[in-house]
Amino acid sequence: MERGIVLRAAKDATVLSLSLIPIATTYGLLVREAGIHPLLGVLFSLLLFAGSAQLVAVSLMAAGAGFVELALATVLIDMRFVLMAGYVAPYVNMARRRLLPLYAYSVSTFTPPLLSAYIREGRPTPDRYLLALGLAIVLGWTAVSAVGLVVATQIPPSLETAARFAFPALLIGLIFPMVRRVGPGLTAVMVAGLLSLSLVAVMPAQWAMLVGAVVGAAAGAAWEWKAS
Amino acid sequence: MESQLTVLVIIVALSAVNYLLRLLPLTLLSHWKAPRAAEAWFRQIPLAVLSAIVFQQLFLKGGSFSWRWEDYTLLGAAAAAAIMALTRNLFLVAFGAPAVVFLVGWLARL
Repeated sequence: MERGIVLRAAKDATVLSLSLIPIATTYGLLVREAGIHPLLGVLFSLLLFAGSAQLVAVSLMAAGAGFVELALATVLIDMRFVLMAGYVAPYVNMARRRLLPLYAYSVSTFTPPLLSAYIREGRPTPDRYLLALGLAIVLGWTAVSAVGLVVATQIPPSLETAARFAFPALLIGLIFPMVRRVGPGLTAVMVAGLLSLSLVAVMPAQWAMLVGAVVGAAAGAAWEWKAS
Repeated sequence: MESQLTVLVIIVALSAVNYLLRLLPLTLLSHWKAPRAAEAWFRQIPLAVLSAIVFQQLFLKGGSFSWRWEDYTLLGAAAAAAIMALTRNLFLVAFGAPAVVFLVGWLARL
């Protein structure tokens, strides 16, 4: 793999991973509250590699939830990976088939927006960047989780609310460069966001999030289709 | 709370289930040549998914709509957007916006 692509992926993953420290600290707080050994907390990050699902799973474990309940909750939260996998699939198609399990393992909430930025810059071999980026984020998130578990033992309670705001803040930071003006992007943002909120009156929040995202993306695509 | 061995088994099993959730669509879709309309839809997916998550994180508490001025989440969201617009630096966003939420909350309590 070209050195330039690996370096770019490593740089993007490093910035992202450092930005995840507040989220990792929240995770560390929950792991501590649940009485889970810190090493298992780190192993969970390496194997599951899904921050929000980990936060929910650890909270449920602390509340004494059974495996079926845990599996359903995390699958529901991670259903967005089905959509994200759909976005990255054409780039995986360019790569060697035997690498597919690695691509699947490294799909995360953050790889599609970073890949999208890389493609917008017109850079070469997005498939290689995607794999390098995905694996670098896995390593970054695992390392940062370990840091979060340590920091969580030092953090005063007054900072916990602010630390929990880091996740939406980070997502806003990722969304912002993709929405430059009124158009398909802003349409997708508003429709997905408002639907995901209004549908909680009639369905569980995770389903509302998925339906909102599916319809929001369709609204954005319709705008793009109409404009072209 | 379960024993650490039980937690380990749960972690491995949950990870396996969730891995399948990533592997299956990628395996199926990487063989498929999507029509242009589907390509346009997939292009908007990252943005739509992130937006749906953000709106729920900002305005849902315990699974139902809840928003109060005292949460300072809108202020934090505006701070996140402003920091990103000015610096284009995710690291500053992740630390700056929570810092704004903390500072405003602290000032309000004075």
